[in-house]
Amino acid sequence: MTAFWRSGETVCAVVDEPEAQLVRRLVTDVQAMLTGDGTAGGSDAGLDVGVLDWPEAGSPATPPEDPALARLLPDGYSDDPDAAAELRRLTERSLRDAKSRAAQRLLDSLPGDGGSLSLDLPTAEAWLAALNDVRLVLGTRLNVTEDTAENQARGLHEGDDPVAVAYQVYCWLSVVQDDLVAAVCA
Amino acid sequence: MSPTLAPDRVEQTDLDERVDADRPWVTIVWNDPVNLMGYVVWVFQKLFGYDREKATKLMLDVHHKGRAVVSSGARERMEHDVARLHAAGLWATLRQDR
Repeated sequence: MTAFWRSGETVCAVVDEPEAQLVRRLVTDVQAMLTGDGTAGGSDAGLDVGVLDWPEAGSPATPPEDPALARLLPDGYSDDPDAAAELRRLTERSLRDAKSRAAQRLLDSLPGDGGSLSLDLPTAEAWLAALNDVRLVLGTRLNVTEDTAENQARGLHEGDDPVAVAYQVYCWLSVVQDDLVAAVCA
Repeated sequence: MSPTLAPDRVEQTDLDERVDADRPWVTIVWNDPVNLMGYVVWVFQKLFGYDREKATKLMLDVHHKGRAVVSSGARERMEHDVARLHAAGLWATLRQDR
């Protein structure tokens, strides 16, 4: 994947096919978590990021049991459980919908076989939100902490086991998202 | 109006309610290890219209102090701000200012 660059009101990049398939799979999986649809998402990317999997659970008034989904849908009050439950009852569905729409906007603008990306600014902003949601899910699953960069330097996340691969994907997405922020702000 | 209550009691109750209602609500963003610094700055600029300098200062407060108040006002507006921050993936809560 090339760096993103800004051309007027458009953000551009070139993405190769495996990268496009990986992003599509991850975003589709997170979208399925948000919509409660366990059937979405394929396993044909040839890269097992199985740490994304978690059974859907939770009622509208309480945070989801899955810590990663709970991170996407946090409580609005930290010190008032009743107010948090009431706000969640009123807003969680629309928050899920907003995140799912951002994910869909990314999927609709991502060429399936890779190639040139050309995103208007609202679409680029939807990419930022959708990529960030994938990173939040991966980061929660991987238990990423402030010390993660240090662990990386010490080589704790190398190799080809599923966790190491998921961690490498997480780091790659961090670079992509940081680069996209710079292009949107340019 | 409650003409059946003694005037001094009415006055006291009104005063207490007014003082409580006048305390503004605040939106707090909490530090987390996943959100990127540049992304957080962009979110603060985008959602609140802050200039880059103010957005960067707030981001650094979140990063170094663990949290920062990013907006204040009526409770309903803060609930709206929290919802927008959650949509962007930031960890935000609201509470009445102390």
